[in-house]
Amino acid sequence: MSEINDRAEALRLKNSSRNLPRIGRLLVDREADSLWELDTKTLPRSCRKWRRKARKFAEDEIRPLALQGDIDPGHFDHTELFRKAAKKGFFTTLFPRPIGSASWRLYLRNAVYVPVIIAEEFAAADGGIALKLMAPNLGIAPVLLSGHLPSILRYFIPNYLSCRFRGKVKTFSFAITEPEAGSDVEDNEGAVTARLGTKARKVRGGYLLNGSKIFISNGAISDATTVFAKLEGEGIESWTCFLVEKGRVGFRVGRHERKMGQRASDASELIFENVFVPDKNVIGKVRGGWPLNKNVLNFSRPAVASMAVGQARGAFESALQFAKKKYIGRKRMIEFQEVQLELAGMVQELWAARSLIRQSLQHFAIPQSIASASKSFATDTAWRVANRAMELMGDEGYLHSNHTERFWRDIRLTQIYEGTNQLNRLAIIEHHRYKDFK
Amino acid sequence: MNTSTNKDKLPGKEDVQFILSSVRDWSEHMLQPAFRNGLPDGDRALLKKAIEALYDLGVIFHPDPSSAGYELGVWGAYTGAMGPHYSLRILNEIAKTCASVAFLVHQQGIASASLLSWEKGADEELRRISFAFQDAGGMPAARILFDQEGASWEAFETRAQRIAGGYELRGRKNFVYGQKESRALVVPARLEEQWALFFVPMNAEGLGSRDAGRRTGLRYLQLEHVELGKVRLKQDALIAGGEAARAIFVRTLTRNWLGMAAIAKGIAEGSMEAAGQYVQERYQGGTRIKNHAAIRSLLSNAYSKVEMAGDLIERAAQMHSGKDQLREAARLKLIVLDECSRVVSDMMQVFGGYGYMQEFRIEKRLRDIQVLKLNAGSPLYLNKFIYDLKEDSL
Ligand SMILES: Cc1cc2nc3c(=O)[nH]c(=O)nc-3n(C[C@H](O)[C@H](O)[C@H](O)COP(=O)(O)OP(=O)(O)OC[C@H]3O[C@@H](n4cnc5c(N)ncnc54)[C@H](O)[C@@H]3O)c2cc1C
Repeated sequence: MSEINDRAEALRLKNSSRNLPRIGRLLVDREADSLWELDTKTLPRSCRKWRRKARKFAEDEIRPLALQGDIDPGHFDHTELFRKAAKKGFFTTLFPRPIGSASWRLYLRNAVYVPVIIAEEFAAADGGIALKLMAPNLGIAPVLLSGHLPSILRYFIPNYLSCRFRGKVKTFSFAITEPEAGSDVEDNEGAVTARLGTKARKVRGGYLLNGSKIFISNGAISDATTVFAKLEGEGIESWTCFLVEKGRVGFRVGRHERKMGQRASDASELIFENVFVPDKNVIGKVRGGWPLNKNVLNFSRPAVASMAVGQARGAFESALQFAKKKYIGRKRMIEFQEVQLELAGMVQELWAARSLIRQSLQHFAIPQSIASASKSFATDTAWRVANRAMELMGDEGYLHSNHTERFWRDIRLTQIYEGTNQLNRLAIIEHHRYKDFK
Repeated sequence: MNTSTNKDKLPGKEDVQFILSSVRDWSEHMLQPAFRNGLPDGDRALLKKAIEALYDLGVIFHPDPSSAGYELGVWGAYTGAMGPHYSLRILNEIAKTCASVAFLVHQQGIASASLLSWEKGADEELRRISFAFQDAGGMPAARILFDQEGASWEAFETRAQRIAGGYELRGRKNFVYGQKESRALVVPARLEEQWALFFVPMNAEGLGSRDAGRRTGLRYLQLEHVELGKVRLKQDALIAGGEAARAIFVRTLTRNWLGMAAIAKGIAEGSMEAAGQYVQERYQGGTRIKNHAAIRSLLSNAYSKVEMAGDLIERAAQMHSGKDQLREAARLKLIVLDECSRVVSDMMQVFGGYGYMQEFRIEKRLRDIQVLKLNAGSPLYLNKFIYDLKEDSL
């Protein structure tokens, strides 16, 4: 047996390629790098650094907090974690240097290149904490994507500068969902008949906001929220984005949802009772809320997809560790062919999902179709991978202490938020219907 | 103990219907309230009360012939003559509301049934008893179960040894489900290259147990790893030896998988009922969501899968006990658990964001069914197991 093993080892391309001519040898992968490193090297140079940095941060700072964030989210204090993340520049990746921390080159390719890459790394350590760290990007994205210079100068740039140079983290959340309008605020057709409850009434110097938003990630801990509301007496076409700071009279946090997973991040109800919002807090144009919302979703869906891939990778890695350690009879699990086939299936699925996400980053303005395709494909794939990982581990798979089950619970959310995967699929067709599929 | 049942005295359809409708009433009045306060895994005190009421109703099997659950308890003494349908229907019904309680009833039933031929007989202690399927190394392989060629008894780790006045047991049993304060274990072991089943009180000297820790689902039940370090037992602790012990083990394993499939189907049906109601109420996209094809296809798929699961369970339940039924039960565990867990996940999708929140109780169903899918035979294990049994008959 050992002779067979030795000979098989000698036949591995890495070893047997010695018999190739020099140039032929150069064309052979020497297996010197890990899978992860091989993949990292395919990224643009300035992005590789971000990926390595994010992975280290995830291992050092996120993973140790993962169980606590899941088991006892009520007492999970994020302050120190946020401070450290800010110091490393993770909260300012939506803008290039010197205001933000992204590199110009990448930024000109795609504004969310860096956050999308970081998202996978954070989520591979923990889904809930990753969401907590990534949601501020979503919250502030409307300010940036509005392209409205006064809003950017007033809210985006000062915030980034104080975060980058003074370490002061001011986080934003993003609020579109209402009790009676979930999918409807993600979909053009649904939006037309949406029963919108959050309204803004024009008063002198600003607007009075009334209504509520639900399921808002980081809603309870944010310093400001970009809230979308219709103008009184009008429909979705009047949707406008308002920046509402914590502490405004009449603005309060309602119930915190108790979730199946991603528990380290709160999903909260936000209540508005005659909240005065000054004119200067209108982000972009009055009545410009709908296109802004849709474009934010186009940019954020690949990030959600990436978080799902990260979580699935987390599940896969814990199953892999398990298979390497666990003995069945006299053999380690990983030596069984059926186990190898399962693990290989997971690796394939992860590659496929990641590749689609990277494809979405090739666009300067992310098209709806590819944003939705990556989100729905990656999250469904991630769910499958997590199931496979748990199944591989049998009874051990459902113990909290082995982590896999947490990733499984976390992933399930990604198929629902940022538009259910059904709505995302419909968005793909909506995009192409009048052109490619005419 | 006399285990023979008089066919004339077997309960008729009406008796069965009566019990089933009592279980439905009980579920509505005692079980469902345990979930009204929004606790993700139910109110433990109310669940405990509901379970006590099930004992009184005679739904939980207790192998003392004078007890309420002796005849018509789940996996009760009449199962041999009546077939498993009845037990499966009850488990299915309970699981629509709470899989933890259904699984508890099921575990108590299969463990108790393994004692029916035990000479020493039952006592009050057996109100809470568990059956330990797995050694620390995992579930027993098909080859061990049927002594096929190449079966390695070494993989069966728990060993018994005769000593003066009784037996000594050594080994580890993992992932043992039971009730809080479980009083005793049924322990399969290897005794001189033969099968043996022992009755082991939890307070036996040398027996240690530790909680398996926090887990995804079925959280009402206790889950323990048990260490048998030179546990000394009296002569009468031997429930059965040799072929008889093996037959009991095979029967218990078969019933375990059949019951798990019935519970999974119940969980799926419970989630479908909840989703069916929700789609009538929720309004999105200008209409009630039941009118969207996206929703309809999720529901229609779910109906088909659950129907199919029902047919497969029925087929397996009709088979004679033994190797064929065991293989069928393994298939059920593999296929029904997988399909039904997909159903539950799809029903969560129907609820959108609300489905992910604990108060809607879909997420509990998803957690519970996931644990059932992995417990006592993961899909990978079952695949191999089915192949090994099949290969034997090729
Ligand atoms: C934990 C969590 C965090 C979240 N974070 C945020 C946040 O930070 N900010 C924010 O604004 N929102 C947030 N959301 C909201 C999220 O985006 C919505 O939950 C999601 O879009 C689905 O909406 P819904 O929950 O109302 O489901 P519904 O819209 O009620 O959907 C129910 C079902 O109906 C289907 N359906 C609905 N309409 C149609 C249609 N027209 N055609 C076909 N099928 C349809 C859906 O696919 C789904 O299966 C969060 C949600 C969760 C659960």
